[in-house]
Amino acid sequence: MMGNVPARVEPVRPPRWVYVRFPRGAMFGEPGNRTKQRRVLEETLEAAKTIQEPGGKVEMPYRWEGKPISFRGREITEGP
Amino acid sequence: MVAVSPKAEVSWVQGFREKWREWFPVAKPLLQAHQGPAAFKTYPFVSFSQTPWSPLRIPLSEVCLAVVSTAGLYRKGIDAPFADTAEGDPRVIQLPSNIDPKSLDTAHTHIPQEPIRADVNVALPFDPLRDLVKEKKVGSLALRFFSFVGYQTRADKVALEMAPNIAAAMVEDKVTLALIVPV
Repeated sequence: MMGNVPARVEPVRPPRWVYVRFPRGAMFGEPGNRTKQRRVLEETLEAAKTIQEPGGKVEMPYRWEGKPISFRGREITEGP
Repeated sequence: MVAVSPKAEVSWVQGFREKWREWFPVAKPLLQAHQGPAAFKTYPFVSFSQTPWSPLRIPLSEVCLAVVSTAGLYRKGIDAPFADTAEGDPRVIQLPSNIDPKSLDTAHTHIPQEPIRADVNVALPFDPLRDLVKEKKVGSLALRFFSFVGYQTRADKVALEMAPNIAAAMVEDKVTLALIVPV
């Protein structure tokens, strides 16, 4: 599973999850940034193998590099 | 989809339903006014004591991978868009895994829609997935992916209807690894 808000993911107790620091709705990064999307996807799938304990988490090092996303009067670059 | 009985622990459901029936009439006007944080301050969130676990015993180059997206994706001109209701639309749409991402739109009104409309791959990475299969880094993509709207207040419906039906379809498709991508 992927998530960008640990406080919302952890109570659900997923078997294993990847923490991405991107805005809501764009878990794989900026539109058109195929290199980043591919990297996030590949490392997320790798985490399925490397996480060896129930509830284990991997945190992605990538950050949003596009314009902040406007949503309901706020400018978002990470999380909700 | 085949309806199945959930195997997960569901003893919380009855208590949740009682609390939801008290919560929803009060929360509904706030939800309709897009005042989510205020509405969800008193939501009967469910907490679990166990973490389901099954180690991945085969290499990624052999998995049959399915993706579940909560971005509310639907096929333009084919699927009715998800309804924007205060309760949350519990429909699950099956998407062929070989679909053209440009034929999809999002009906999720609780997230920024512009990035997804610019490039569906930000929410469900069809093109990078196909690249990984072509390069034999992932074994294969399952016949079907699954789409629903992440905004759901009926946790009981998610647990007793939506998730078991998705799981049953994955069993039919011989899925060995599932990736859940919330928004």
